[in-house]
Amino acid sequence: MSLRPILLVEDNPDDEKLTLRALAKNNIQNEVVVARDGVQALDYLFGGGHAPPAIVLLDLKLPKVDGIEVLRQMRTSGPTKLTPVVILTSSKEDQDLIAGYELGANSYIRKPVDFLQFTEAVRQLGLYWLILNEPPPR
Amino acid sequence: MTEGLFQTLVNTSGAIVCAKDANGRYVFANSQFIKDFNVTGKPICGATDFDLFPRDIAERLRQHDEMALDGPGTSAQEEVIRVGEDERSYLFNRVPLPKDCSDARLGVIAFEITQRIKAEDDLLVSRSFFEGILKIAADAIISIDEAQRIILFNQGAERIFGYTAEEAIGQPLDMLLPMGARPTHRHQIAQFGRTEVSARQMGERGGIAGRRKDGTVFPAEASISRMRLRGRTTFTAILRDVSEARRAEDAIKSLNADLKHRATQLENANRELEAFSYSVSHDLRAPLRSIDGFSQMLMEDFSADLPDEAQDSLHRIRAASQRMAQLIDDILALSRVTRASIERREVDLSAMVASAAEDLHQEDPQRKVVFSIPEGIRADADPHLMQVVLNNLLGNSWKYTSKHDTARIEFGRFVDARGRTAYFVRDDGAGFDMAYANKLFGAFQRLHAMHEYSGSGIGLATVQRIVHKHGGEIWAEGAVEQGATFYFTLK
Repeated sequence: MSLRPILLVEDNPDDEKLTLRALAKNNIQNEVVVARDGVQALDYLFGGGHAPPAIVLLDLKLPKVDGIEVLRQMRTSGPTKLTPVVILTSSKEDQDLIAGYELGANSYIRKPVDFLQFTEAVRQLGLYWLILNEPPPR
Repeated sequence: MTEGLFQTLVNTSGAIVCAKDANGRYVFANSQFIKDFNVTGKPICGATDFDLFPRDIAERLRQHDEMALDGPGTSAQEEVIRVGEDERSYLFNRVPLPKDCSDARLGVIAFEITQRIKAEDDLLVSRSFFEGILKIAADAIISIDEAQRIILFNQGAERIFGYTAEEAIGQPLDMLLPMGARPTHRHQIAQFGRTEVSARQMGERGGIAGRRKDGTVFPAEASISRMRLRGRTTFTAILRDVSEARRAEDAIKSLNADLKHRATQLENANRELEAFSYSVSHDLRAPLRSIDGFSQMLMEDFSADLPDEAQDSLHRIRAASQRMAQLIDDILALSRVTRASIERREVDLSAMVASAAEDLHQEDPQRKVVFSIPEGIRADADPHLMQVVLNNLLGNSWKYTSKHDTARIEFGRFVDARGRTAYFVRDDGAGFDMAYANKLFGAFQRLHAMHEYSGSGIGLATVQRIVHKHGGEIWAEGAVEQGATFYFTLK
């Protein structure tokens, strides 16, 4: 069975590269689709006839359409309603945490500055969401 | 005329009628005389005033009689006659009589005027009373007649308008009004004269204005009343110069507007600060992640090619970016504390200290630190913010005792010299030089070099802000290598 892809929604190219590296270092084999703003993310999720991704790694501060709006639209639409969404962001402001969880985010991770900690965080979330967790049936 | 008719007229006239001879002996007195002066039972004819009245009165009457006898005709004289306890006033009309058949030389016709004099006295008192009021009143009291000419102008009016009463009385009221207000005012008073109302406030819509002698116009408050007396109508206005009150009112209004403006500014500043904090937390961290992440990538991917010195530099870059990340977090925490509102309730400080101590132990289980935490120390404070205070103070003690093999950290409470309850955290660590005690609580102020003890220099600034927000004070005592004690109070 082929692995479902990971959708990484991230506008910062550095963060994109670092995240891809952290995923690679943790031997996560899934294809990674990168959306660089909210519109690209919504296009991939709703426009292209793609199967829902295994997981969405979602930044909040994005050009055009922000992460909270992407999450809101995912949760109101059938195919992506149950897709695991991990908010991966710089902010740990209460308002973002509350908005994220209220809209049904599955996890909320604040990207650590220390790259080793970041790699560890990606390892744990990959282990949990891609291996341990049983995804909803297709 | 018969004597009988004459007697009847004399006795029913209501007047006192009597006649005396040249020696002051009564030759006649009518019944009113006897009744008024209460001389019943005494023979009057042949008696003198000294037989009928007290001596002082008799003397005076005699003196006046003699003056009348010498005079050319009728003389009128006010006399006070005492009858028992009662003093009455009479008007004596004396007339010398011609020397004919009778001995009578002086005729007297007298009326009692006690009531009239009393009424006159009362009128005088009442008039001076009202004049006194007019005089001392700070307000202008001005009366005008139907032609709207001034007939009364008190001292208050003189002060306010600058005219003397002499200048004002007889003049048209118009001279006290601003030019523009004259026609309408004239009309309004005439209209008021026709209404049923007898008094009302003037200028209910927007106040009225007066005009001084020097031409200046001032805001005023006034009431007007109408009086009809013997068919003539007068109007009386009581008017107050409200320039001062208006100025004060304007000042208050402007202060209020200013205050509102500042409150709005403050609100905007707070909102901006919030947006700023959010942006800082989000945007400043991203480049730090890149610096740290790519340095790490260099070390991992090219370690074989990099000399030790290059690797050391990369380590330092990573350490610096992580320190800056910590700094950003601490500044944000400080600004969050500043914005936070306090929600007080009873909190168990002992339990908070114990939990902070446990966290520290778990982070570094090797260390031999004895905590002394008495149970049941409670305070009325914000639980979340108090935990921040205690975590910081305990964390500091933990940090600054780290170079000692063993350490003791004590939490406690005492009542200070001023009767306030103070809480303290004491350690036996590196301490500090009291000379620098004032620098302890400033943001970014550090008393130790970075290589000795790490830290952002924001922890104690945060603690102080929280304590101040609780209306309390914070201070510290210490000596180099002899430990430090941090005290704080909460209102």
